[in-house]
Amino acid sequence: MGRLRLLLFLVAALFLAATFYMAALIAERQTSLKEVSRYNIAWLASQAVAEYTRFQQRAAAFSVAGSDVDKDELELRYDILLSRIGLLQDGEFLEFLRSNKDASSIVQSLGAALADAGPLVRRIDAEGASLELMRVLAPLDRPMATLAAAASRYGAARVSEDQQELLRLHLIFSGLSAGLAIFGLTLIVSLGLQNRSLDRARAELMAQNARFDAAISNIPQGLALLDRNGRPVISNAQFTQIVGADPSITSLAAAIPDFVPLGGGAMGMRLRDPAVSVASTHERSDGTTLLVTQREMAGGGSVLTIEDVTDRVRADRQRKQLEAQLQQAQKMEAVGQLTGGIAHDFNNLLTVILGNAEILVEDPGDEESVQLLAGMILQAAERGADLTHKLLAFGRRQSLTPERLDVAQCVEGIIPLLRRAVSENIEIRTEFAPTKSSALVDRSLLESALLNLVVNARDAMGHGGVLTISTGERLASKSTGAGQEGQRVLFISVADTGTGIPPEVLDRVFEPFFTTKEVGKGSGLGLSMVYGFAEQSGGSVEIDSQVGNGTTVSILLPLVLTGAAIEKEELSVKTMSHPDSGCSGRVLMVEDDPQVLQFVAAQVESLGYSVTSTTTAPEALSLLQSGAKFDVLFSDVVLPGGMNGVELAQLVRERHPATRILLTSGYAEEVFANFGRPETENLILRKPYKKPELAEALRATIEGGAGTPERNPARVQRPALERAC
Amino acid sequence: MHMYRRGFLLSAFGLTVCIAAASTSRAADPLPVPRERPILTITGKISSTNKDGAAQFDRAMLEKLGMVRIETSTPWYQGPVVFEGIRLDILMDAVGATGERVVAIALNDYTTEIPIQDFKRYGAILALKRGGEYMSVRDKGPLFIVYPFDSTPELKSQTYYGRSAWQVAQLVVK
Repeated sequence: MGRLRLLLFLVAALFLAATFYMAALIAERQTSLKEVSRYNIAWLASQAVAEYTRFQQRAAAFSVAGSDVDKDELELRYDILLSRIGLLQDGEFLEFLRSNKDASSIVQSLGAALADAGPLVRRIDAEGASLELMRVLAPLDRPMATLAAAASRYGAARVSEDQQELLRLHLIFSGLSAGLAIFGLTLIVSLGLQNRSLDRARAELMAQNARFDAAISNIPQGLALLDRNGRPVISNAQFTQIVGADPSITSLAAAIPDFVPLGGGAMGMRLRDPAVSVASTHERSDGTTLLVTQREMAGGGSVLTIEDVTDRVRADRQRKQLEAQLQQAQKMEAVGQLTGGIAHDFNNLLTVILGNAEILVEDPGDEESVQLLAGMILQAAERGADLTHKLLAFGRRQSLTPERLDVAQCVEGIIPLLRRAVSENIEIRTEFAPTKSSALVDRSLLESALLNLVVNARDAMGHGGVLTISTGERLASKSTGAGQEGQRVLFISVADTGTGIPPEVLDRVFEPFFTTKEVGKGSGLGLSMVYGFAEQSGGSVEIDSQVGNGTTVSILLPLVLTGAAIEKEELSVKTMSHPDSGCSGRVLMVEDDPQVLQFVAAQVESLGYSVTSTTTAPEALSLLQSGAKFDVLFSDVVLPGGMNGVELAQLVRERHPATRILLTSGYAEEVFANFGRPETENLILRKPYKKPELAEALRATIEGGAGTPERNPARVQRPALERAC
Repeated sequence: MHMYRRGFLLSAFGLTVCIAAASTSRAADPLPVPRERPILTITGKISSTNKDGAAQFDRAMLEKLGMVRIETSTPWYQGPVVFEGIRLDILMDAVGATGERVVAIALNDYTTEIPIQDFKRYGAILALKRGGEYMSVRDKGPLFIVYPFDSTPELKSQTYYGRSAWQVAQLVVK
């Protein structure tokens, strides 16, 4: 802007100078214009000719008798003629004569001739003088005419020269005028342009200002610009609203305890500690909380923002409370999950204990069978104790100290618990690679982590699938807490065949409270707990997931060498037969718990039935398909391997109508909720049951056939007890 | 230029006032009769006369009006020339001229018309002497209207050269 103004000033100065210069030029030329108008020497020559002619005429008249021309007259004319000839020999005429030799000689001869005429004029009265004078003058006629013509030509040439000079000056002035006009026009245009650009700049500035104002008045914070002395220069409505209607120093200081008015009568304010740019919160007596920031500006002064963060602080507190509540809720959810499964397990155990104890009471038999029966009771009771122990460990609140753990053994130990946490349509598989290493971890936390992973896997497989828990050693694919890249680490993986996690959410799954589950279904703390556990144990967590192909979460732990080896038990299909009393018929048993299977099969055989045992539904189905004939299918409702007892019963009824069906369960309500209550023709024997109840149920099943349907299987149980087989 | 002219006009005005005062007293005096042969006759719109409605002047009468001196260059002489004579405006006042123009008539019957204001404006004189000598007829005498050509460039033009009549014998005020 300044540069433009300077340029404009220079142009104006130039214009002024040019105008003065032109004025000076015109004045100078005016003088020279007047000077070019030179004297017309042709007039002098013509005067001389005229006076010569007049003198000649007077001289001629003088000699004529009766003429009024006297000697005085003639002398006057002679003097006048001499004065004219004198003009031809002086002044500007000499210039002409210098350029024209002929004219010069003519003037000389004229002078000489007139000098000769002088005496004749003086004695003109004498006889013959008049004629003599005529003779002297006569030869001058022609030179006079020649001189006049030459002078006229010279004068004309001078006029022409003057004209040329005038034209030249005209050209100069035209050029100067045009230059001046262009100059002026340029000046006007540049002024106009400058004006336009000024207008544009001003409009832009105003728009910018409006935007700035809008920005300041629309930010949520109260904002004020303080000058060097701490005086508020600009402030927005929010600022006024928080600080008070009058943002004076006193009210500011009153509103914000950390601000004090500057002393010494100076208006202004600053933070108590003015040394640094600060941000701090202040709780005021009215319960509101203010966040105050002050930043020094480069050009002096500072920016002050005040924000009412009361709601935010309140929300923060509420969020922390909610977090605690959610953690509690999650624990409750886990407990709820476990309750059913535990009940099932305990019922199984109780069934064994009750049955065997009953036999011992009724008919202890020989010592060997007492020992066998008591052993089974003992084993079942031990398992119950173990289960209780696990529950206690899981439920323990205090943090447990890490211990050397055979990870595979630990996982295997918790499998029954985990099994209860998943629905029956999910098969749990285990793959334990042999290892000589162990981990140094907190057992209950590891179990809790596993439970969390299994629950997640279950939720990812709404329609069933396979859940594989594997342990072993592998090389770390990257440097983690568990070990450097390429180092051997211990892993515990939980893989499902579920829906998988989309890549956009994969990065967030470890965040606390991040959940993709429906409200109330999950706390969002599961994986973060796993993560926290792994990190705390010096390890890490890896997650690998593909949409549609399931998810594998691996806990990686540092190796701790040990000599322990792991062995696993395997279950197989066993067929037992026991020839016995009154009743007869072929019973196909399906029971996943081997101890229960062994015990119940023995009981059924003791009732006189022949028993074929299987542990899964598909196994039972394939036996039926192979052509084996059974009178009764006696199946547990809760079964592993993707098909439960209710589903098995439906298939068998359709394909093998001759086979009667008896279901048993200690935990059936949930299955019924998911698959519907079985047809009324199927009886249900609730666990735990005693031998007479079993005998009655089997008998009723075989005898009932297509007959007397019962609406509520729960009610048939009691009357059945009365009738022993 | 402008300033010059304004200054000139102011001084001319002052001069006019003085002359007006002088001429009133002089106009009151009757014009004396020339003692020698008259060399100038003034006719026309004049109030002071001495012979048949005309004012005749001999050399002495003219010189009595006050001789002034002009040195100027002219087209007719080489180099500057000193002329001595009387101010024409004073002469006009002496005869109580009331017209606007003066027609000068020379001995050879050459006539030229001069606006009377020229006399005051430029200080034109009716010269009697050139180079300290009375001018004869042979030297464009006895009376020669001379402008101070060198005083201002505008005088160096055909107009004023033309108004500079030689051998003036009679003035007619119109």
